[in-house]
Amino acid sequence: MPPEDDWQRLAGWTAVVSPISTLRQAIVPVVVGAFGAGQANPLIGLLVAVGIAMVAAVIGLIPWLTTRYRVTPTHLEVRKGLLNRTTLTARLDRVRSVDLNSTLVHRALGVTKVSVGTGVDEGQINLDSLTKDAAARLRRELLHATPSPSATDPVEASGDNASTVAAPARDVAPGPITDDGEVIARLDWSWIKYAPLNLKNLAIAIGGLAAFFGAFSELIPWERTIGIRVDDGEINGRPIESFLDMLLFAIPIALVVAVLVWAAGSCVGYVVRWWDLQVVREQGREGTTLRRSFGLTSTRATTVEEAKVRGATSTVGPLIGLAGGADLNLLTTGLDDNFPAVLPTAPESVVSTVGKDILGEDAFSAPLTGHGPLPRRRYWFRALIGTAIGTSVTLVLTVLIGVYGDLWLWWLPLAVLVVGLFFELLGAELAYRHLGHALTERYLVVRAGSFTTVRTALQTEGVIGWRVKQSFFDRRLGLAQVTAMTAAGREHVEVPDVPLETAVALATAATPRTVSEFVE
Amino acid sequence: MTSAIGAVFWLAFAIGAVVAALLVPSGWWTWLIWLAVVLLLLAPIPGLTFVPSVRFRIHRWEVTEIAVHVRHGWLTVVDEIVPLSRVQTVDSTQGPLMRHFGLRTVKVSTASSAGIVEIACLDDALALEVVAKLVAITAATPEDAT
Repeated sequence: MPPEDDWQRLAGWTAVVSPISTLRQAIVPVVVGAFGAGQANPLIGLLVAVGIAMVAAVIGLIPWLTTRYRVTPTHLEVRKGLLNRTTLTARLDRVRSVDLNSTLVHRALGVTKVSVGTGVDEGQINLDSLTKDAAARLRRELLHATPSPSATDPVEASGDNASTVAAPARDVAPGPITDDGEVIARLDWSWIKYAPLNLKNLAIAIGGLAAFFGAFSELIPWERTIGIRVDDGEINGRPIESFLDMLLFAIPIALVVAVLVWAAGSCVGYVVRWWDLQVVREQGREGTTLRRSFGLTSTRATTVEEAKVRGATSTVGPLIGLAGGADLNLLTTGLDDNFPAVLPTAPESVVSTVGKDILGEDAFSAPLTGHGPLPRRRYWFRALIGTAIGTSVTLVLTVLIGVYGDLWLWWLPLAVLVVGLFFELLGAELAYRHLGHALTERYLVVRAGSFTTVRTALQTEGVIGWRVKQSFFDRRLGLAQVTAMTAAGREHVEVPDVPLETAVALATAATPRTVSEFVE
Repeated sequence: MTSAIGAVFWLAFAIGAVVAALLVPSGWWTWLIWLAVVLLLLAPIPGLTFVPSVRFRIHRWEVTEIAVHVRHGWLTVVDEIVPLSRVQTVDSTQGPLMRHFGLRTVKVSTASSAGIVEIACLDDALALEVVAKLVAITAATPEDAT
């Protein structure tokens, strides 16, 4: 093994991995170009393809030839670039997260991509790719190395010339790194039942399918593949009316098939994505770190300093909630993704146990203070107004259709009224029931939402300001919309529809030093 | 002042609507276009008459050793409090109109994108004084700003 302060290269397989990833971005123009040229003359097409492959190979070699990195006792330094030589330097005590990502190609070649987050917004340092051992060693050096004497010195004094200081011997164990640490959570295969209930993924899947057919519908030979030819008012030469009876059976069958396909597909997707999920707490350079690793074909391992965690949210979606599940996200500062999911959708008991473990206290189960009768009145009133507007619009449309189209859909406004009223009032009541807040020893806890409920626990330490908003109607009712500003997560936590006195009391209690002097 | 600029835009829209009303062939929709013209002409009136004074009456600010507190708005009233220990940058801006009237806006930003607080349209000299004071206090508070 070379000495620690020597510049190190990327793995040799980089020369294979980077052209593939370069090519993958350019695959469509390449195929189109080669195909276009090949139609005129097959030889030229072949030459074009070979030429592009060679260019890609040369481009792929450049990172391997030009990138070097090293870890000094105080800094991570990376040099890269062919014409523009750049040197990236990151202080080790500013390294906040280390991600190891490998696609299928990476895994086949035994390499991985390393991304180092330093708390600067665009400051991810990427090393694509390192061998598995080198990556694990780098991760350990960045986050977990026992600080050597020179590294524990106050770094502020001479951060810049640290690279010239000779690196003393460091007690980093060479060779494969064993997974030591306390396992906080592990994937339980019974959680797979939540996969088909994830409406967000369903929307993404439908959107993807729609985009696919939108783009390629011209190219699919419907007539030849499934034997359907649609002409003016006729299908396969027979009038459309003769198919309407068939549709009565076909639509339910199609729906059942779609549900089954979705159930199976989402479960397979779930297995591939979350395979071997583990959340592990390890001892880091300064305090503990959390590491989450998962994946079957492509694997991801994310390590985050626990000191950057300012809170967490637990989200209960509409269907998932009925099945007793919830999502757990962290609120962190200074990471690339400040709202990272800790687990896939899991039973609420698991979410609350893991949440309690990470938050350090049982903030999610803290008893909440409701916001009094006024929000309920407001939500019911809004629900009634909404239904009234929806119904009258439908009524007008129905009359218009009736007058001009001579088609009286008298049941339509009635249906809108009944269904709309039911869901609007249900939503209003749920929104009111879910509304609440609490202040525990270290956390501000807020719950809000109607069909999707979000419970947020934010460290009062992490609150960096308050905004109290009162619209005209708010002032008449004496309610206020409170925002706790924070650098963590989505950067703000809303406490909606709080009585003003409660809002002031809450802000005063959460950040006494700041607010108390302004309370009249 | 901003409402005056806004009024110019509304006027431009109104003129556009008049042109449209004259150019578009008349039909049942003609009265709708004239209605739009009237509304566009009426729209800036509150902004030119009583809104500025209401805004001015509501707007207040306070900088202490510990925090900045600003209240602004007219229909919706917003109170903002940011402790100085969490302030990251202090800016002051001055547009051409503001320069003419000798005004300056002080902008206090924190580590949160939701945490930007503006003290709008202070007297130039006062604004610079506030900036100097804020910078002095925030520099003296050693806490981490996140």
